[in-house]
Amino acid sequence: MEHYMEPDPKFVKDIITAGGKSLKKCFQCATCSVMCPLSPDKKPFPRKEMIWAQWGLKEKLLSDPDIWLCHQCNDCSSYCPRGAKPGEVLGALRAVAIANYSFPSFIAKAFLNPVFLPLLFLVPIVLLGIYFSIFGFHIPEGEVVFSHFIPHEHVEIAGFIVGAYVAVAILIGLWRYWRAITSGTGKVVYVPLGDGKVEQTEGFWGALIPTLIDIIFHNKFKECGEANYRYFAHFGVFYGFILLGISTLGAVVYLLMGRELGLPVTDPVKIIGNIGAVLLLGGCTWLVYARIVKKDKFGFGSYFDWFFLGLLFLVGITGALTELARLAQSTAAYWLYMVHLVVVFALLVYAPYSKFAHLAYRAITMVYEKSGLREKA
Amino acid sequence: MSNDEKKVEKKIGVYICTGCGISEAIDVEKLVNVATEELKVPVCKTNEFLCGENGVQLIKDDIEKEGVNTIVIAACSPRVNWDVFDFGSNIVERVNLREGVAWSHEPKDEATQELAEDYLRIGIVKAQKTEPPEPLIEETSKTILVVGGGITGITAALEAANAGYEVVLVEKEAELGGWVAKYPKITPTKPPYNTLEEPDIQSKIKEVEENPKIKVLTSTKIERISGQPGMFDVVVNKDGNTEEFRVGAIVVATGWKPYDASKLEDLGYGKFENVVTNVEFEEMAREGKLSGVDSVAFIQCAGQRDENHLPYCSAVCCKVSLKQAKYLREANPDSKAYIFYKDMRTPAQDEEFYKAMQDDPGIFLTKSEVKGISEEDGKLVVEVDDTLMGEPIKVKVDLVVLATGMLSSMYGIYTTKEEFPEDGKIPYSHIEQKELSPEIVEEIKSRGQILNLQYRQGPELPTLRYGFPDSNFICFPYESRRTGIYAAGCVKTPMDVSSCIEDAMGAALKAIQCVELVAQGATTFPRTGDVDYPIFFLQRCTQCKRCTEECPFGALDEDEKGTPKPNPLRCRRCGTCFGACPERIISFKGYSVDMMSSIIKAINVPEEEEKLRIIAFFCENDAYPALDMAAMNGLKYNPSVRIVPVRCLGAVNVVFIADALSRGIDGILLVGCKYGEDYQCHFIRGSELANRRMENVQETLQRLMLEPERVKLVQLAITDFDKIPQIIDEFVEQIKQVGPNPYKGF
Repeated sequence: MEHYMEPDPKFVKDIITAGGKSLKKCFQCATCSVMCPLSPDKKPFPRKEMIWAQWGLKEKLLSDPDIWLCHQCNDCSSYCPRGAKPGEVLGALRAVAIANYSFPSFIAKAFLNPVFLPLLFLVPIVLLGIYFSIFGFHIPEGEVVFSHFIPHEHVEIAGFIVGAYVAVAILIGLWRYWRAITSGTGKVVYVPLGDGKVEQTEGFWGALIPTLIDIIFHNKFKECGEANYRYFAHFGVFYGFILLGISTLGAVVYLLMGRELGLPVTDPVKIIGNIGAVLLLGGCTWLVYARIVKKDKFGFGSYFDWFFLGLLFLVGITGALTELARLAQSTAAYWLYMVHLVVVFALLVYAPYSKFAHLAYRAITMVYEKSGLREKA
Repeated sequence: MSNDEKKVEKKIGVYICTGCGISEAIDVEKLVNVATEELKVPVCKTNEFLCGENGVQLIKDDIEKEGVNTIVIAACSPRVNWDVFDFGSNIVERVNLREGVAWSHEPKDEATQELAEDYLRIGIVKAQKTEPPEPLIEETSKTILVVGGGITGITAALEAANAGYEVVLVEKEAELGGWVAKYPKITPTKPPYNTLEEPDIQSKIKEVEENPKIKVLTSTKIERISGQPGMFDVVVNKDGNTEEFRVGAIVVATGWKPYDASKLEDLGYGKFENVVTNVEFEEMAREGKLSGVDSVAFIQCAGQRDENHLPYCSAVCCKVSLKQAKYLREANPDSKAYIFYKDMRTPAQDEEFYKAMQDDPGIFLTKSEVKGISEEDGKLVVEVDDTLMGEPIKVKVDLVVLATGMLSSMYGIYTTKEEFPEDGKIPYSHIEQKELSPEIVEEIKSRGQILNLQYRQGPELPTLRYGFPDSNFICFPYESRRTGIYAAGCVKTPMDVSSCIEDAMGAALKAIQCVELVAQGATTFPRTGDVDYPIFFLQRCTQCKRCTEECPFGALDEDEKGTPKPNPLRCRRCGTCFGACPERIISFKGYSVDMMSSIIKAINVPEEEEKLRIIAFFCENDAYPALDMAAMNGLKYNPSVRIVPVRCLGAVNVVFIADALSRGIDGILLVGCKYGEDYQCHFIRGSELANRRMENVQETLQRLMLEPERVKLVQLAITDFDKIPQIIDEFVEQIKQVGPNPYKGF
């Protein structure tokens, strides 16, 4: 395994810019790896990632699946005797990894630096402007009905186009990532346990089920020490988002059935959507509160974190306000609806490049670990 | 005048305090009887609060009205209230009834009473035998000689001069400044301890040169130094011209020299042009040769902490390499500096510096073991293993810097006879044992000297491990084994610039203290202020040379026949000579052969065989205070032991042991400081000498047909006071096993 090591000070600076500004403080005591409730016994993290980051060992870090096994409990950062905040460094490394693997990568770079933020919002605003210049812009009179403003079909079509794009972009990113972490690793059939015994591994598909179970029950978050609130907050955001997704699909079904939308609050689909909205908003508020008010304990997080969390929060708020304005029969509902569409668009279309992509990368890494590939590597 | 005083007859007054629990433990009436009836003391009084105003007044009245001039205070330990019981020129003797008897033994017990009575007898006998000391007042110089003009020497010179003392500063180079003047930057010396600093050595040099109290002699070497503190005669040679002057004390600040890197060929030194030492890299930085260097690997502990080279850590190299990495980063912003260390050692405030340097994205640190250095395509390849990455790594660099260590400037020169004995056998266990042949010693002698002291024991300060002149860095950091000569800075131990400055201040103060004390005929540490000094009755000397060889401070020179020539101002009054002399011709006014014999005789040896009598000689420096601490902590020990404080275990003459045993004393216990490599002996080797003399003791025991178990030496640290009851009780038990001394009753 001996080879020339070429540290890259530029990469060190990249990680620092992406939010790992304290990484140089680490003096390798390994308290972090000892404290981490999720770190495996073999090749534990985040101690090794910290020295790689200090040396700017780009190749090692980008092909390191362990950064995704971290759930950002922050136990490491709160016990770090040097204030090196390994939790934040791993967060920055994940941002850098997403930027590195996502497709097309030139877009990805724009998510690491706040100077591109206006540009990122400009894109959906311009698209909406183009839409209105084609289909005309007028605020309807009388009862608030969104389909009089923008037909639902248009929103659904745009949604499916965005969805297809996001799926393709994420899959390409995942494929690149998977190639990187599995290069040099053969197909794993067994894991030696010593004494000549072997453990049959799950294989990719076999590992998928326990991974999904872990995600559904948030098992990993449950193990967190310092930031155990994240189990509840992430749970809220996660299921809030899923319920909102279900409710959106329900609306599509209603639409196909020819039903007029603008559902009453008693409609089951609307009920599901509203429960989702409450969960999402509650979870987001908790996360925002914890990151700001208790930043010393839980870590404030990087711009990359805040871009995603902020968008989620905005989606929740604008959605709720839109609905309230509609129920109040105020024409402000149309303006809020426009804003809501912009932020939802941004949230979805930027998913492959923003922190949203963690959903895919972390999930696939959990599969990677459970299938025994990590043990083998 | 002093002769007249001597003729004055002693009138002893005994004052027994009954406070602090003494009267509850002892029958004071009986004690008074011992003084007045048995020993016929003219004045004996009791007081319930002797250290109070009335108690002290009582004594003062007796001095004035009764003519009492020798006072025995039977009260608390001599270690307390010594300022209260100070009656000017009158002799004061203390009997430790409080800590020594009342607080450490069963009250109103027969054995306790006997102990108190014996202690009173000892005290009165000591008072009878004590002569008032006559200080040796000579015409002394208060000039301070500073040897070495580096940062330490410059600081010491300035400190001494600013305190009002004349200073002569001798430097062998043409310029002052030493190493620090050659450094572009130094590591931080002040808060926030995170940036490199410009050394302010030039302004200090200017200050020295402009100070009217400092005489600077550059390009000057010392030819020889003779005499004693206050009266050192120094001969220097400046460009071939000799000059002689007298000084009172000497600060040795001759600094360090780098380890010979040519021994580091396995790290590529001498093999590859681009492998340099940290000293050479400093020069490159000074000459601005770093801008073209893209990458440098700093190898820490190069030839250090390594049995084949320097076994020790030079304390500064980690900081120096961090500093040098910064030189590189500042000269060339795209450069990379690798630091391969065994352990990053940046104690105390230096941690802030380490953090600051670590923060530089171009400085790459890892713990590692160097596997090899080779050359490839004009670059150097450094291979290291056991890294923090968990795997061996190789890096390509332009330059390799070896962090070589510091040697004392005294390393490798001829120091003392005991370190380079003619028979090749080093007598002391705490001196590095090395292979010595007469040829090697001759070669070492030819390397020249630094101080060239005209002392019988050798021309330089004695060194101990690794060639550093010795001192106990916690208890007495500046002391050397040559009174009036204080080592400071890197000559003594590797240290950084701020430590050198601090050390120089301390050494300058010690030198000032020395010149002031010797002007009054008093000694320095640890019996600071003691004016009593040993007097040799040379008519009876057999020229056995034990005293001249054993004196830990080289105070005794010799004439051609081997008769000792005392230099009282070099003496620290430990009494090692007193303990060594088989003829018993050495005595102090207040600590004499006669006194010790009388003390032993004063102890009442009962005829009942079950009543054991044991003498325990306790070193006054640590063991005796520990005994007081034991008493203060309510610890009790066997009352058959009579504690006799001594200046040092080295001051216990074998003859006293023989005397005691032949008088029927059942056992002798010697309790003193730890000796050997990590010794705590305040006189450096007194306790070790005492231990070596145990061989003679065993001969004595054989001659007396007594069991070897009757004499035991125990090492005790001051913190081990809680072990005292166990030590004493175990020894008493040992003597019980052996049985009573058959000489009892003779």
